Amino acid sequence: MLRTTITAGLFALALVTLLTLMGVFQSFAGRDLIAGFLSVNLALLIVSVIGTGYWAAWRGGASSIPLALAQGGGAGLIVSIGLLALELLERAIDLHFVFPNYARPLMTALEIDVTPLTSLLLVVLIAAFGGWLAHTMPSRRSIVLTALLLTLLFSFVGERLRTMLALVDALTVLAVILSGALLVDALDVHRVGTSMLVGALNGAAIAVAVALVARGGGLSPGGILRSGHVEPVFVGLVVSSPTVFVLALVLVGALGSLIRSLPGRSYTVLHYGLAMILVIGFAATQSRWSGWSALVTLVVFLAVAWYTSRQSSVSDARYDRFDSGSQRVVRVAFYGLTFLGLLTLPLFVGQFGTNTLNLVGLYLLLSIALRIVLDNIGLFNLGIVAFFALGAYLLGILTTPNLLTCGVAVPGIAQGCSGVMTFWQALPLTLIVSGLFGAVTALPLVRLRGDYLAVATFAIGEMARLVLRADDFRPLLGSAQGIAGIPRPFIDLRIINPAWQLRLDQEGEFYYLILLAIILTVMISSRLRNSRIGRAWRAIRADKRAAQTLGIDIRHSYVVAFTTSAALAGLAGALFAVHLYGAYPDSFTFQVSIVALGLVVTGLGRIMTLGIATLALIGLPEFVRELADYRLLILGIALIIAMRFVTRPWRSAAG
Amino acid sequence: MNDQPEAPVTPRQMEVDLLSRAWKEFVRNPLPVIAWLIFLVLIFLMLRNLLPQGQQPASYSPEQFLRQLLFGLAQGSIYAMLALGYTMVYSVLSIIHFAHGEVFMAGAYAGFFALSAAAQSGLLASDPFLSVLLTLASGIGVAILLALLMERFVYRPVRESPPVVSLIVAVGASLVVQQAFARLFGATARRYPTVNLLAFPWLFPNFGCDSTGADCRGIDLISGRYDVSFLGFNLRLLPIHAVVFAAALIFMLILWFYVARTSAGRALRAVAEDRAVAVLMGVDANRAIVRIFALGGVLAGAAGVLYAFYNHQVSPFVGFLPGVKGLTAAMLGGIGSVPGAVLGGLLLGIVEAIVPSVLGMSAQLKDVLVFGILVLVLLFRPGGFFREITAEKRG
Repeated sequence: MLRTTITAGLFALALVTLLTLMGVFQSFAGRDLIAGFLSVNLALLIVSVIGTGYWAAWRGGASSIPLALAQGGGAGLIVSIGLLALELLERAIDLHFVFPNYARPLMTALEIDVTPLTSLLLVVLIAAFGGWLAHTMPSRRSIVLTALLLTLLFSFVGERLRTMLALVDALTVLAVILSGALLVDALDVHRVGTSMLVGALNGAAIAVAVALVARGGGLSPGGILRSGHVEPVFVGLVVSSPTVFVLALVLVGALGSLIRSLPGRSYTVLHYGLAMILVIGFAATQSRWSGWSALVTLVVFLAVAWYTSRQSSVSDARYDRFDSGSQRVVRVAFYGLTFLGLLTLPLFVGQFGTNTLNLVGLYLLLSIALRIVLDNIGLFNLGIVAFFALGAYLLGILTTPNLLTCGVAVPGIAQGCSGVMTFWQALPLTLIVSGLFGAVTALPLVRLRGDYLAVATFAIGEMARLVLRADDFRPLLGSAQGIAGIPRPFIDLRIINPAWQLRLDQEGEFYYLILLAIILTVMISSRLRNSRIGRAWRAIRADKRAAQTLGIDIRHSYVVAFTTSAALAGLAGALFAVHLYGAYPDSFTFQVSIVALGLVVTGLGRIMTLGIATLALIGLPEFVRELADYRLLILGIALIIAMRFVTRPWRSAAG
Repeated sequence: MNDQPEAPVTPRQMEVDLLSRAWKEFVRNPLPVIAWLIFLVLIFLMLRNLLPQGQQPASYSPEQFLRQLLFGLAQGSIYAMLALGYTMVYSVLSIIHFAHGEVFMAGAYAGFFALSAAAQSGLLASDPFLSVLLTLASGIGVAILLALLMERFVYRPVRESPPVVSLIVAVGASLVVQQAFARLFGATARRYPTVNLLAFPWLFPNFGCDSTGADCRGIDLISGRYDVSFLGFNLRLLPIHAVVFAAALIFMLILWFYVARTSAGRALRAVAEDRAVAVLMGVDANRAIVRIFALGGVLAGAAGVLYAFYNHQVSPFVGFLPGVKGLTAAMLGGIGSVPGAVLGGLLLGIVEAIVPSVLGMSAQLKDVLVFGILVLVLLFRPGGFFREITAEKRG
């Protein structure tokens, strides 16, 4: 028993030392988790100490509370002694030459002024808490851990979230959904149509009420709707475009009235979403992300985690009692609500936020493209970047001025001439060419063994990168400078209405194009999965030889998967080029392939989790720049862990 | 298929028939045609550069060839040492040890810190030979350590999964090691201290005195460059190339001795032959696998230090390309075959040094060539090119 504790402690010490030498606990200097109270650096140290205690107690069995506390505390003792030793070493010799990121002694960097003995005691206590966590019941533990993690995460980006929406916005939406659901319950409505009607009426009533309050001066400075530090975004619509406001609330009410009879997973997701809105709304009433904000976040998430863990099965049961037609309506309602949320997102997150969302969307698009091959037939494509780059460069070549249209030798310099094609003409061509290229590469490759195929695709991706950089192709591909000045798509509907023309050069406008592309891609991939070819893929995956005897053409099935995947990756690349206003070779490295692969593997095979993974690994580092240094490290570790523990198609696919 | 008597075939019909058959064959398996097309284009490019164009001499001279051959041999011996690591791991576990390049990088880094310490303490100036030995030793030591850590925490947990899982996990591990090194030791490249290792004063008493004017009590094995006229060719010789080649030979001989002549080596060969049977015979398969990774670490660490000696710098990303090239070399020689790996490494080094300029490609496309070779080998000869030469006779 003692031995496991010591082993776990030493192991944790090695990891924590590694993190310390990397400078992890010092890299978020000047960033507070809770303003004036808890710095991110200190929080990271605390989390790793809790993790140490948890791990030690978990490894040791943690059969009783005192034992768990002792195991956690023991491991904490080892870690703290090790860290103190490192501190002494740092004072004796200068480690800066070897470890440039470990600049200062740890405790000084954390800006806490304690004696070594106190810090030792603190670490032991915190680790003991970790040990206690390992001992508590799994259900209670998961609630506490989820709430803690989400609170940490929210505090981390709190300053940005705080300005997204005002409390009235949050309360209005919550009121519409929750009171609608309660009303449906109270009236004992069991039919989907009726409850949607009730919800819609309820939404309309609340909308009218809010409008009346606003008319009564609620929106003027000091009014009841203006409490807090943030201008109401959504409720602000009540003045500028009241019809949109009322319609939106009616729609939200109609869809939200079904919240208590959703399938379990959707139920949980939606409740967490509502909790997030509430938390952000509360944070907006504070002048900064304060201790109150963190506390409210923790309480709200604790409540939601506890509530959904009990209620989701009830909701699931209600869903099961519906006939299939109603079930379908309920599902559509859920997607509709999610879609509504996505549709209105640019309103809230601001220019920078929308730009980040666009980047996240593009990576999501690429991951979905990669997923078609990986999830359906279990083959790893490590060269998806080749198709991504092909799409970007092809669109760039077709839509920027060049020799053909300008008659000038150097592309991009001539003024007043456009590309060969507009975006809308070039996009289908890009898709087709990427798909063809995918088919041509897949034809010889698909007969290879899984790991050989992965290596071969990796080599193709690397070749693409090198070719893009090479000076040999400068006239066409622009070598290191890439292709600059790719125009944003232009929607010209002046034939119908003289006012209808739109150049999608606002991030908020381009967002909708990406959203549309994602929805189309998701639909294509899910339709494919449930079609004849999708069934063939599943059959091959289950048993290659049996599928062959049933007359399934394996080569053809594989090539179809690769072609679709390549075409969609080309689409992602084309949009990526438009997003950046250009195609530059540095954007198309092996890292892109690994990031996409890591996202798909850690995305656990569902679009929702894939989206969350993308948001966390692509979106978060944009908000918190310090994280960008660790993005690939985290991704790599997540990839290794996911490959080890998650059962996915490649387990069954013969190597 | 059908029993009806065939109609007499006109020549025209035969032609059409042949064409359609060829087309069908092409659609069924387009690879040979594509390969021949690539081959013809390459031949054309080569002839254009090798033959004199009218009045002008050929753009590729024999002098260039010799220079590139020597460089290619040195580079090739690095690749051979790396390829041995891939091949040995493959022969035992049937997995591609994709993170091997990071082991190489770790060796180069450890060598850098050892050499810097030696330079700071003055050991490098007073006893360069000992410092170089220490550098090699620390490079090898750290490389072994990293290789063993990878075996324990990356490969062992997924040992029973399909090989592709190991490959992807290895890709992840490669990324993690690169990024961790970048955070630990800084992401910028660091310059190796200059080593002047003068040797063989009795052989070269006054060698190179005129060109550098520096110390000339022999030949500078690490950072010397000497202009030599030999048989009418003006060559610039770098002794480090010879040192790398020789060191690679020595390490490979040690490896061969270990594998072929010791009882531990016999256990390795037994596990490579058939793990299950070897285990039944009382061989500790785990220990053999650990040893294989350690051996790969020795070679990669040594290669890393040697490579850094003539490349003059280390960065966390320095292991990636040599690693992939080592893999290509192993594939070229038939992965799993030890002599194949050595031959493949040398061949790849030479090809990479010579072929781009023979074909008139820019140096930037040198690596495209290597990746192209990798793809082509995987497609056409997944068993490697030297299978007939290197295949061992079995009873």
